[in-house]
Amino acid sequence: MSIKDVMSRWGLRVLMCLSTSVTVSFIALVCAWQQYGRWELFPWNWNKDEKVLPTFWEFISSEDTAGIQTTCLLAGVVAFPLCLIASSAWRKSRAPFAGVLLAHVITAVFAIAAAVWMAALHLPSGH
Amino acid sequence: MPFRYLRDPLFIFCMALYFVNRLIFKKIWPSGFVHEHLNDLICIPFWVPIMLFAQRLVRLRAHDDPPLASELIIPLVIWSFIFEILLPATQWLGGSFVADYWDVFYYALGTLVGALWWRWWYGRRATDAR
Repeated sequence: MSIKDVMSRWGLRVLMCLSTSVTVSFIALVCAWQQYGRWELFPWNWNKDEKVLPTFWEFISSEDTAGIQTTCLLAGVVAFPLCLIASSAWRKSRAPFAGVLLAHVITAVFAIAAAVWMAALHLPSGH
Repeated sequence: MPFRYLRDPLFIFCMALYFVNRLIFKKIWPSGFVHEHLNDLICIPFWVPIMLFAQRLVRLRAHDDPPLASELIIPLVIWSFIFEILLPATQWLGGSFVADYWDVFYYALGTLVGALWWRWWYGRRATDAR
């Protein structure tokens, strides 16, 4: 198998895995930033007289948040093999690009609809 | 072997675990993992089969393969964003949603477990059928 074949077989998958990892880590990080701004969860971050939310940059550059950032990174690391495993059955699709895109849009629409149901039922516990 | 949707063993296990957690575990342990993260861990293995079943029902899913990569990743990203960023930030549902970065980790972990299970279970059945 030539390098070109390997690249063509693995390149897209690895790229997908990386972008999924980065996206999941970023969502976790933004979520942690929001959570960090809640003084009742992190009271030591707050001057209670001036409840000022740290900027995102302040949050990620603070030494206090190293543990939080590691967890967020770990969420992305977990997402990497997930994408690799789930895409193992990928074969060169003969479907046109528009068809593939439409299938993804349909999945996204159903995911949003399911989220509405979940929010109504409050199954992913908001604690 | 085709994906069994609402008769999928992992889906049934997650549904049973949800009720066991709600009725038993939460009474045994007053706080901790069972209160804060177990539902997040089983969220995707529980909801993805329901979502795909609905898609199949309205004929917007053309096959009965186990969940594809996109059918796991898109819900993971969308649900993480909605439940851990959008709803906590906007308070659209009365402030009952709280951002927790650990939830995103458990969503991803649950999805990974689901992907491994579905690959193993339906792969094994396909091998047996040959």
